[in-house]
Amino acid sequence: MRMFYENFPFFCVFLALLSGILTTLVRDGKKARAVTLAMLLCAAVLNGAVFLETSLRNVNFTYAMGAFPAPWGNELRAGPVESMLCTVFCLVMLFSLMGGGKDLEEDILPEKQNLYYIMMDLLAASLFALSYTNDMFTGYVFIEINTIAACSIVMARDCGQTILATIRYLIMSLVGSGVFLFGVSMLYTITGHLLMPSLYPAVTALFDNDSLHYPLAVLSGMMCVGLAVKSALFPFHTWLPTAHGSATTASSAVLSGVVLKGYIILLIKIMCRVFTPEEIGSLGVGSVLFVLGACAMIYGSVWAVRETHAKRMIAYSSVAQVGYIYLGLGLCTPAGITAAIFQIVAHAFTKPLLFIATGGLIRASGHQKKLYYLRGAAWRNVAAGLGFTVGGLSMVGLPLLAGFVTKLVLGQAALAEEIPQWQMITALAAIAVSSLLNAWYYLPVILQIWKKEPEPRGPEGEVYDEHKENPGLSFRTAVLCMSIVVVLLGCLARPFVQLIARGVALL
Amino acid sequence: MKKPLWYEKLERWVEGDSPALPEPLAHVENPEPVKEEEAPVQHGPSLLRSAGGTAMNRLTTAFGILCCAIFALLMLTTVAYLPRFGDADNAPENETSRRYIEQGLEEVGATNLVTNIILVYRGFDTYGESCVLFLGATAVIMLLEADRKNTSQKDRLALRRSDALDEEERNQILGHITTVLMPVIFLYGLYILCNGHLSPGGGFAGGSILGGALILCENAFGARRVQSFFNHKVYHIIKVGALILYAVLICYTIYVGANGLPNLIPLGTPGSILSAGIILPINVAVGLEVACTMYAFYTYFGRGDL
Repeated sequence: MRMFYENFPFFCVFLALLSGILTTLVRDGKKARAVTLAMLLCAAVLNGAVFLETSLRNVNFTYAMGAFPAPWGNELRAGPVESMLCTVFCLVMLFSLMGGGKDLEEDILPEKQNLYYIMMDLLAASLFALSYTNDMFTGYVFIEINTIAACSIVMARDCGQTILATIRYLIMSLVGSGVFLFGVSMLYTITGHLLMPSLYPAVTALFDNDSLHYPLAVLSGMMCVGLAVKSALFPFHTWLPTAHGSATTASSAVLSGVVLKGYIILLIKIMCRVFTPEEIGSLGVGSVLFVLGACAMIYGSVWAVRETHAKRMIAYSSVAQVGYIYLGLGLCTPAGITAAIFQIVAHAFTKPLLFIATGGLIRASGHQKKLYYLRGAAWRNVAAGLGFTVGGLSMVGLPLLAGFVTKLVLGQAALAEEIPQWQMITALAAIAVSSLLNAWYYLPVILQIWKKEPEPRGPEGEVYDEHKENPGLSFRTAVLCMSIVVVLLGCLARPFVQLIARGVALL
Repeated sequence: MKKPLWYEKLERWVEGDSPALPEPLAHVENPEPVKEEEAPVQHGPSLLRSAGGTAMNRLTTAFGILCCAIFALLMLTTVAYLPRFGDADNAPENETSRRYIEQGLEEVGATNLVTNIILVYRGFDTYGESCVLFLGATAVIMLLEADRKNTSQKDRLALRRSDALDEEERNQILGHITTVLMPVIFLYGLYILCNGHLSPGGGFAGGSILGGALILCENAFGARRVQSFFNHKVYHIIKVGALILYAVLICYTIYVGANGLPNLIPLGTPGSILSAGIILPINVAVGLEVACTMYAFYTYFGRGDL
């Protein structure tokens, strides 16, 4: 007899899907919002329960979706890592929707707000399924759901810029899913399986046959590249800055904090459960991811330095932060994967915090998005200013904050004995340069927003009223909670990293 | 009081694009700065865009062709390693497909073995696929449903005028033939739907026939006639009802199967119309969903409304 908590991953997926479907009948945006927030809260509790159970017992379990186990039917598989990430996703989406609520009401027509929340519900469902799946094809199906929902939340703010951004995002995304599907179908042709537990021995057997290394390299490369396009790894990131920079605040926060990560988790599962990290490394795919990750860390930061539009600057910084994740994955060691997962969690809280805080600052500055007009905005919306400061300093890598731990863990993983010399030097150099660049563009903005202007003025000389903008309770709660998590991740780093390392060993 | 030099330097760094600098930027001198929303989307390096349009375009095109060629080469060389199609000892001829073929009828109960696989063995995937349809329709509504941002008063008048014109000059031949054919098409669609577990067909195929029939109706008799029986309310009720029915059935099957509880839905005699447990109602639900989605795509693209 199965433990009851083992049903929770399945409940979460269907809870999110059903609340999306039922929201169609709710025409009122406010009620739809309540349904979505309640769903996210429930899912956070359920996923959190799975996380507690699996991490306390140090186990993971497979859950057959029906009476037929692998290799015949669909399966889910949950362990500490998957359930932790799902809990993080729920909380981040919850905070993003809370913090971006006011912008959302203004940016999206009232009669279409319920549709926006349907997209959010299905996005949550797809993230749960991508994290928990034990089946390559289920992964593909929910990648499709994720793509459509993610494009729709960019499109929801119906203006020329977002439509263009959506078209670019959609095309790049579809290229990514197509390439991934090619990889999966080739894998099926040479192994005859779609479920990870059956694929693992089949792939291991294929590795003994030297003549099949080439197709294995091509298909694993295709799956990795497909997922890399969707998670905006350099040089496939071109869609990201416009999409994340022009969407409504909540969408930007969810897209960069959560959506990019869903694909990376699937990639980690493929790396660990279909192949082994060493196999990926020996095929050369690991090195490609490593080099692209290092390039992304520097390239994204360079473009962020040049950017004068607040949200696009943060979006470029996402390109760099995704690079950190791929740098860790490219090392192809458990320590590297642990560092990547830590970065996923750290970035999942930090980036939405920055987007939400920037949204608040922009609102307090008469909706001006140029950095220049944000000067002194922190005094007009103190919560947003504090949030931006915490998030920005974490990105720079100040100790006691989450971003520092990422750099530290990544550096430690690169210093391990089995890592080749060139990778170690590249990784350390990339971390050093990227940290410098991060400081270069975040610190001036932090100083600017706290600079007290005697009479803050907009582009047409209008004076902003100091007390006109009340950010509201839910905005303050969201920013405060995310800031606290960023600080906690930085302070309680050791137990948390150990927890992830134990989970990675179980993958 | 004169500021020390280091302080001035720090200030310049902090103030990045400040107009207070010796070289003020354009947006301060310009009384009406370019608004962010209307600004053309800036993508990629501005350096590249300014470096002459056509030469750059040609280079980009060449680069794109090169990428495609490399990708094609990669795919073609890989295909050489894949096993020949249809060989008896290919990898997919394993215990998985053997069980689907040998025990599918007995375990799941539909004589159409493909239906067994997609709706029961891998039922979760297929539920995901029907959610893709739901999501696609929702995204289209989000983008195209007429609202004050995407439709002007003029557009609305033009649509009403062309509707009135259509109403006057309805195509007589199309109308008469549709009147004769419509019941047959609907019946055929329903047959494919309800017979999906016994013969080739099922929800996706039958649903697209029904959707096609609705589109034909709209063309032959005008949108208003279709609206009289298929309006927003009906559309939402059918769509949500079908998906909920599907979800309930699949959740029950998954929950019961995963927890080792007895499945109370009878499988019936293979080959009879009321057999194969959840497959028949699921096929009907999928068919209704597909028909609604197809018709919604058609009308929202054409008219921006149902």
